[in-house]
Amino acid sequence: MMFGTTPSRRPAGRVVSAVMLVSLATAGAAGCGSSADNRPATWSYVSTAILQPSCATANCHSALAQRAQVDLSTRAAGYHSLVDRHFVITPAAVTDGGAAAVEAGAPALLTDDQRVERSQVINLMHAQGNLRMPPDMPLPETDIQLVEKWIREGALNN
Amino acid sequence: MRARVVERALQDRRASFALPRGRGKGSALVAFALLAVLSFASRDAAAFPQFQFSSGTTRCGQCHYAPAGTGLINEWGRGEAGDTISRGGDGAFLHGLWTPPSWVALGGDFRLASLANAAGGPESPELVTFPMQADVYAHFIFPEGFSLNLIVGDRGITRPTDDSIGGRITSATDRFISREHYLMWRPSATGPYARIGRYFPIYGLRLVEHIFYVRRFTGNALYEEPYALSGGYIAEDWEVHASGFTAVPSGFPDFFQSIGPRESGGTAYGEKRFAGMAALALQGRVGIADEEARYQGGAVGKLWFDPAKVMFLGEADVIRQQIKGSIGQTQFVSFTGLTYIPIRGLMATAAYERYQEDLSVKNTGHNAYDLEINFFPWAHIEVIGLGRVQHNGDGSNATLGMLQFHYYL
Repeated sequence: MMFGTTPSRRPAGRVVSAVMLVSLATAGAAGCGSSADNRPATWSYVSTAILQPSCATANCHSALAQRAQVDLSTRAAGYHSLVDRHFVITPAAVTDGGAAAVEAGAPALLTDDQRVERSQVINLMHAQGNLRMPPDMPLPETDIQLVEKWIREGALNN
Repeated sequence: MRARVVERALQDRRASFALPRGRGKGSALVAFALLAVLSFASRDAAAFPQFQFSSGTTRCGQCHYAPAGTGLINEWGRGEAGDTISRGGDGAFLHGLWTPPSWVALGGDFRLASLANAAGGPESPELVTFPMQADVYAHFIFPEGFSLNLIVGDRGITRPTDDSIGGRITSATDRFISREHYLMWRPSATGPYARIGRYFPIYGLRLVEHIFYVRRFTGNALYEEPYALSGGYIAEDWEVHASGFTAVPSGFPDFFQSIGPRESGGTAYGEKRFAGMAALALQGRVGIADEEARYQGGAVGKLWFDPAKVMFLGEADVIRQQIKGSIGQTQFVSFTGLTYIPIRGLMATAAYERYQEDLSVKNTGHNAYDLEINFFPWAHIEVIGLGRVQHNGDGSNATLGMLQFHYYL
């Protein structure tokens, strides 16, 4: 295979410089950020910043697919899917048939840490007993800890 | 003067690629037999940004009906498919067995994929074979430069439907979707154009693989096409595009539905090309939804280095996500790739991707390392191998191996 001669070299230097700048910018920002996580452990943040972009994808938990009948595409739908269906154990959860809640016993008697440990959504994120969620792009532990903090603080719809 | 020199060089380059045509009719029967085993499923319409410059074409819109690439390829593109992209064959519709009437152009994309995904857990690695894409395309041509463009297909399902798990998708008919349908005015290959309907407003590298971060997190995820109104101007060595868009109305049937934040907003993209070998673009996007607003801007770069048969591709975007009722965060997403085209019909791309969810919080960054091999043994046929390793902040790693068979009509 033969390619033709490159017609003009003069602009190439400038182009290469510009493209390399883009490259550097692309490779940059790799180590940004503070070790302190001051993000709010609220549902409005957890849902919009973490769960929707990671989980509400085309064939998984979007409104269009609702795999496992879980819809995480909006705050309202996500809260219903996770809390009302006992993927998350709240202090107020009642044992009304939800398997996770039944296993959890009387949630009001559980410690905050026990509610985190028994919340299925956390187990799925840690790949305990099931395929890791999300399977295509696991969450950083920092994000999982923020979700745990939200559960520990009562898993409020705040 | 320089433009003429460039064009002559490109013509020479194309001529050097050319092989005899018309040898693909036998392979058509084989391809159709393979198609018969594919059930219907959909993927995504995109393009190969690597073919800009390397194939001798300088504008994406030279090979596609859409003004800046993606979707159905035109007559020129079909010629390229046989002459410069693959090892040989006839790139025409149905391998040239039948030519549609002049008022319509037709096409289709069909993919079968196998993957091994290791993300952790007792079921890892997952081994899945699935029909990835089945889309048919139609481009109806009207007088005065008007056209109607349609894509109708079936949404792909990576993991098989399981009654014990449930979901909204239970049969093939549940998955029918029209990802694109738009009316376009494009009176000539260069010059002004306008279009209205459903499609992705022009933004980014427009890579084929929808899993890449620069597609997934910039409003170009799989099935995220909004309704849009766009206009732009395409010249030989530059082009500009501007779009206003809005989410698919929630009351529309699933056949028209999309995913992602239900945003309304706009995009702008401007690209300058240099010496038939490089392009640099600046871009911006604003999307306002009920629960968040996203403001993003970035740059795209491409450089074809002819002596080494290597193309550099890069994209970097900074995104400010303002979450209603909460705080905001600044994100970063990028793609840096190097494509090597050692021989006609073979392309290898190594890439590094970065997505940081929040620049102010350490360990919220995702890094991905990709190696993709695209082999085009014959016009209409592509075999793709993709390997991907992801490091997800301070969390778990994930590896993906995928093999795809792609046939287009």
